[in-house]
Amino acid sequence: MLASLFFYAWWRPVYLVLLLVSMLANFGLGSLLGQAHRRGRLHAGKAWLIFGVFLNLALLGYFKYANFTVSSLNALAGTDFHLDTIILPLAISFFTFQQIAYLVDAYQGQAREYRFAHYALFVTFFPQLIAGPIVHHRDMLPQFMQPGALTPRAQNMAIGLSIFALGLFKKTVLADGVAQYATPVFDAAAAGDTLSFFQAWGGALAYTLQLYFDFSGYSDMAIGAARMFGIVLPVNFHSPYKATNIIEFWRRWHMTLSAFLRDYLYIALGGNRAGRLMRYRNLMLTMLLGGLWHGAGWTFVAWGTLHGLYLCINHAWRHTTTRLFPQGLLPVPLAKALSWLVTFVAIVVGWVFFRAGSFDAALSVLQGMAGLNGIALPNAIAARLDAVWPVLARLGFGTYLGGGSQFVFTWLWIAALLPVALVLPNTQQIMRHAQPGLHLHSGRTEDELQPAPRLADKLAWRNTTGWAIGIGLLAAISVLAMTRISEFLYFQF
Amino acid sequence: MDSPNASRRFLRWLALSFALVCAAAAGFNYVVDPYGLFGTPRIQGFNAIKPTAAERVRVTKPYMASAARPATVIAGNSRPELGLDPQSPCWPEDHKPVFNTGIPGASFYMQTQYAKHALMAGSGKRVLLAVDFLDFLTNTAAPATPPDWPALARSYAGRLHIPGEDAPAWQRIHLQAQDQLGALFSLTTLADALGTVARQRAPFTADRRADGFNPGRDYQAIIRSEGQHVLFAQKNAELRERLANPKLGLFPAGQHSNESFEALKGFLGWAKQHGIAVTVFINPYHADYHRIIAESDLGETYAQWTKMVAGIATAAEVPFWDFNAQGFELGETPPGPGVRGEHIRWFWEPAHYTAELGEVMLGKMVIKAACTIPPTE
Repeated sequence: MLASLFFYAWWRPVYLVLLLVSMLANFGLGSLLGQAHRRGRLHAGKAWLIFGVFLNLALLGYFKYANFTVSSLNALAGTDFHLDTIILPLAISFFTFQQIAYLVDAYQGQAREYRFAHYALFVTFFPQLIAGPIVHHRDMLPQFMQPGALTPRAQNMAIGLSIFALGLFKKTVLADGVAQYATPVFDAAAAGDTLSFFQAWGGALAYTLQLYFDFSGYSDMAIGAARMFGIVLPVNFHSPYKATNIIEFWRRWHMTLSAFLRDYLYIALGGNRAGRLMRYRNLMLTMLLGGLWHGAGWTFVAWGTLHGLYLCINHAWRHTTTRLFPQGLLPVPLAKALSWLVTFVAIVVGWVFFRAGSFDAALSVLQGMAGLNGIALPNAIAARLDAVWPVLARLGFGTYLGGGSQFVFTWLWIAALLPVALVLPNTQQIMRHAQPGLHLHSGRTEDELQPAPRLADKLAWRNTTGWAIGIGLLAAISVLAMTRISEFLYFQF
Repeated sequence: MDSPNASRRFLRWLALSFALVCAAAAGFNYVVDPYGLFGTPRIQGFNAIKPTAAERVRVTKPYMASAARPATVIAGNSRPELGLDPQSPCWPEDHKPVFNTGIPGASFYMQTQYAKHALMAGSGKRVLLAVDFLDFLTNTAAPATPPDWPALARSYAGRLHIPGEDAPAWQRIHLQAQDQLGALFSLTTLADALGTVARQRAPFTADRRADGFNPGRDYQAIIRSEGQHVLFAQKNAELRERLANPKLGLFPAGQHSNESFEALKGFLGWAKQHGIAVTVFINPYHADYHRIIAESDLGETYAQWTKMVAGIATAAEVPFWDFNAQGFELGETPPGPGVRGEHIRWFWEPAHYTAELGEVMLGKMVIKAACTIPPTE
């Protein structure tokens, strides 16, 4: 626990006090809620719960949303209120959610009595503290309380290092590699440049892949680091881009957040208990707040709202088609391919809002993706297409100067990474013989693309020399990817 | 669950393969030396041409200069880097070896600091210092503050050795270790090293020579595939955009000098102190460049700038050349769209002159009987 606190304090020591106060307050409230439940004092318990949730949300609201609220108010009402920029405490979104969940469970009598040291370790455990997975006390505290917990063992080190190396490779080689082709496109959109069709799609797809490999890589690293100490964390990603519908996507993307939103927001709002219309309302609200959780900005609200809408459409479509066409409308492979395509495009459109710094920049990228700014190739490519170019020119293709190698590398990276996301097994599947995480995903085959099921079967980690050499190679490449001689790009052409 | 022994064996193999891969990558990066940082021998057909060195010259040129120990230095930005060849027959024997410290996109102060380092590395006695109009433009609306030279050089000072101006030892050790280890243990370097070996025999592969010269092969590749009109169109558009800022001028409000003028004066004073012969010259620009300057309402500013540079050179008693006022034919018309493989004689594009024009310039600046002006085609 001390190591975790030191890790947290390294960034900004003053916020360690905030974290400690937050943990003490929540631990105290949790004890009161537990007592209230045992003694049957439901009203008192409810009052303490409301107070605790309010306290946590107020803390999060102040640090994360105060600047956003003031600037939005100024924009809407034409006022000129000023608030100095508040620096967001590291991981506040994560530890707030984990502690709210603890209070709710304590109120419902589902939380055991823990020692403060164990509780503090659950909140601050360094592998997952900064960016998840969001852990639940039910999963974590029993592991911490086991005799010999956190003692390094060779088996756990081997498994943990392997998961960590897979994650590091995803992060430093794949995500950082493709990021350099996403960033310039969104920067150009923010600067007011007009993006043509391939530029806009290149940027949006590059970001789609960057985000997945970055976040899932980070989650793997957290799971691997925890495993080195013998702690098994919940899994957070399960090949989300293989999903053939948006409901399934949310079962596979940031799974611990989805579970939290489902258990503590969607169900608390009433879930689907009061009919379809209320279900849609609850879905919209849940996703809207989920969007806001990701960042204090209107583009995040738009992203959340869009996904709420997607989910409502998906549920409505499923409800209608299962009644009207119980046998299905199209042959299964075709229906699956179409479903995947629609889902994937919807996700990519959503990521444009998530990544763009403003609505204008997002709309500029979407305009380009819709072909409203024309379809163009870099002049250097067009010049090499010889006989093909006149045909493309007749079809309305244009050219632009510069950006030839950027174009080629963007699409090469996309062509290389899409199959990794869509065909290869994910980390949990590769590590399936080593208990790689808690709450492993199990879904229906019709909900996912399975382009190479045999490959997934064959690629399974074992405690063998071959795998050790392979993981060592991956780890070395990942570490080598973290360093480079500084460069200065001077576009003289 | 597997036995602890099997896991220990797994961990040993993992550590071994990790270490071997890192060592092998570093060894290969050192041997190929894709950026010319280590000065590893350049072997024809293996690593002689450095196609990926262009974006790293800010890092590598100080190390290259230290290895070259030049007697003469060519200093400036990308224009002299492309235009003045250290291997030109114009150089008298006592001027050799010559090193080109031209740094693309660098501030003028940085250009002079790199020149000082190269001169100190070889006890150099001569420098041809190119000055460029754009490097002297500043935001006239910005508040005037005296240049903080150490702060301006903070990102690169640790690479340079200039007696009296050296960065603290820890800064030099840190930056040089970062440069060298970052180039050795790097996946990017490994990819560039593989690319270097693979592209040795490809035509018109970009290069940076060990003497710091940019032979402009990448321009030739574009001229072959797309035509020179593309280079002109792109540079003209870029220049128009850059000069469109109405706040551009020579001095911050209420001032009569700026950072670059002060850097020029400072460099000339330093050179005099060290007994180094300086020749200051203004790079030649194509007529398109002059036209865009005039269209951007900066014609008078340009005239004022040339006058000030000439004045500073005269005050320092150093030779001065303005190659836009030597009667050269600066208005050659580039080949039109659709023409590939042909280019005008003296310019790659409006801002960058060819080594052929550079020969003419050297013929004027460096007096040597053997240096002849190339015949007109």
